Amino acid sequence: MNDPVRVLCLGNELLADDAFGCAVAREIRAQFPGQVVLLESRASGFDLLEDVKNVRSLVVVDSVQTSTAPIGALFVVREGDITSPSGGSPHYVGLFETLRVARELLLPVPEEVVILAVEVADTTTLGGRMHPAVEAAVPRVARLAVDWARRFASQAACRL
Amino acid sequence: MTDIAKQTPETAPQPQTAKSDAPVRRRITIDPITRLEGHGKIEVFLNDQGNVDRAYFQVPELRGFEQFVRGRPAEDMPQITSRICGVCPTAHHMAATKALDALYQVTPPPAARKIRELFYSTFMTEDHALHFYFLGGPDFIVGPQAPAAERNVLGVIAKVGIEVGQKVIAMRRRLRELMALVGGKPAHPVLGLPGGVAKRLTAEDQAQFQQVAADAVEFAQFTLATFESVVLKNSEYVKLITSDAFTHRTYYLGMVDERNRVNFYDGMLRVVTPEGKEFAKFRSDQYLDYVAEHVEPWSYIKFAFLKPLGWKGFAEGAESGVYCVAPLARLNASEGLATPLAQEAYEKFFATLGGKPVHHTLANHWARVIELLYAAERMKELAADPEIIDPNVRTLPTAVPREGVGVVEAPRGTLFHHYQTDERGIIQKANLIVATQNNAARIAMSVEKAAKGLIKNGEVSDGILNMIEMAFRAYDPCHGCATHSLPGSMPLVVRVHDHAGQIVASLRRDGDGAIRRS
Repeated sequence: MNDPVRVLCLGNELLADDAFGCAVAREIRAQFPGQVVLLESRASGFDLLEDVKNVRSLVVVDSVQTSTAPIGALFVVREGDITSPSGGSPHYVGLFETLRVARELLLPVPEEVVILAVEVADTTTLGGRMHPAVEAAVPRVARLAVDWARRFASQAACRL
Repeated sequence: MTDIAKQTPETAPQPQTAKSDAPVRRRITIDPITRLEGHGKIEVFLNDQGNVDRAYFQVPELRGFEQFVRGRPAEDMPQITSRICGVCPTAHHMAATKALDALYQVTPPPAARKIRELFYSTFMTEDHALHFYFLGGPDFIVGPQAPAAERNVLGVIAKVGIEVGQKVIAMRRRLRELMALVGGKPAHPVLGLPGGVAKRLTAEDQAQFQQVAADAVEFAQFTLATFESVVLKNSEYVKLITSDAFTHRTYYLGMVDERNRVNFYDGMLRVVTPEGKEFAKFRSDQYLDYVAEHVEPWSYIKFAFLKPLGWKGFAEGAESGVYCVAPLARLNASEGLATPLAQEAYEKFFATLGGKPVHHTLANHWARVIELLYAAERMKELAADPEIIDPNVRTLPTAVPREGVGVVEAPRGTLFHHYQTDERGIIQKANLIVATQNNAARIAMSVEKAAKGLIKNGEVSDGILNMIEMAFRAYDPCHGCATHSLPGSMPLVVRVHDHAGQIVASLRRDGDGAIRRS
């Protein structure tokens, strides 16, 4: 698949606040049908490789646990704003390491990545509900993801 | 590039709240200590002489599994359990499918059984290849003495070359395409049904499998040759593998076929003693007679042990119930491999390392490559089997369901699924024992041994992070694997407490690979 822009929502709907990305994907489908190329993934580690390939600009929606911000707070970051150590097992490999490996191997990965991540409370309770503050962030993050996708698309059009 | 670990909550830029929707660039601050609460965190407790009293390796457990699945149809379990894990969903899918066979007392037709094993062998080939190059590689391909910043996957790529890295990724992509062909999608497959599979294999599908399997065997041979030239020809590496620091004399558990050869998909469970003698051999549904779980107040994880021996603490030897699973354990618990090239490698493995059983944890990396070759050869055998394209791939269940146990060998070790239902097939009780639980006691022992070797009289060496990382990387433990929250990767953190319980040192490896103390 070759997309100019893609919105990639990461999460697991079975695991409390980890469902955030899935909820945003649902919201985008409902409120902005057909307006962006949307991909939803429950995978982690290197399994994300195929999801981040063959696209020029990528908008990632995910959750984050910094413990430095209120639950539901939104972070908008670029890939370079986050460093994370190398993983020692598939369980330790994240999005950023996957992107680094792909670049190193000269695979077609995005030129620009923006990440919309919401501070969450619990990602390990199976069948747990999303925290109300996380749930409340869903419509706004869906709109923001679409805004970013449009912005990337218009920048690409200007360059043509 | 911002070093997120350096920023404190006070100095970090404030996040944009969800009330505003203007795209604003921000930075993220993550305190690894907080992030790691219960995630791969090591706590070391010293005695009053400043030497290690105990060291604990903490891992998180997903909560609420039993409660979540109670009241759901058993047929949903292959999908639910495969979605729990973002790393080895195929193993959960297959264990759950086999548990459904047992629950509904139904035997899949021969073609269905072969399709399942072919699918599973494809998964094992893909997983083992990835682990060896990209995840175990830092310890041997880059080297244990290499600078910390290079001991990662990028260091591996730099060492083996971009072409080999691309070859690994290309092989993996082809294997995953085959998995999608049979299972609907590479991750979270929808293949298994009680009594069979959802899709038959056509002659065209079979031809594709044959082509990829032949290439996979060649790729596995190349990988084994790489291991031998990089590791076995380096006497320092061999010394490290066989060193006492990474050696534990425990029991070993693995699944075997009717001739006691390794089988990932089906068979009896065989346990051997630390001397390599058969201790027990049992059917999956007898596992509760042989495996029990011990709880410690400091860990969420339950420590599996051999029930006939009882829990004797974190101890080695024939009296202790501590046992081990995963590639090394599978080779130890078996009497061979069922394919010719892998059998040759199996014999060389034991001849080189002094006979059976091998107790060196780091030998797991070599064992994994031998299993990679076995998986690829098994794929080739099954893909060539004319019966595999038989259209009869389902035996419809007719019995009243009650209870079922399904076991497979996951890449990281033996995986148990056990369900009890009412007469409608609605789950009343479910139990999973995952590979990391089987290995948890031995992992704890490895961590403690590393800590004891590197902390003397209150002096904490930076080398402890490398030693511990190498010890547990070989087991490839699962840690709350289904969560996706950023950053996704997790730094290793070691906290050292004095005899009064006060933290006297905290070490972590940061994003730049450097070890920092606080």
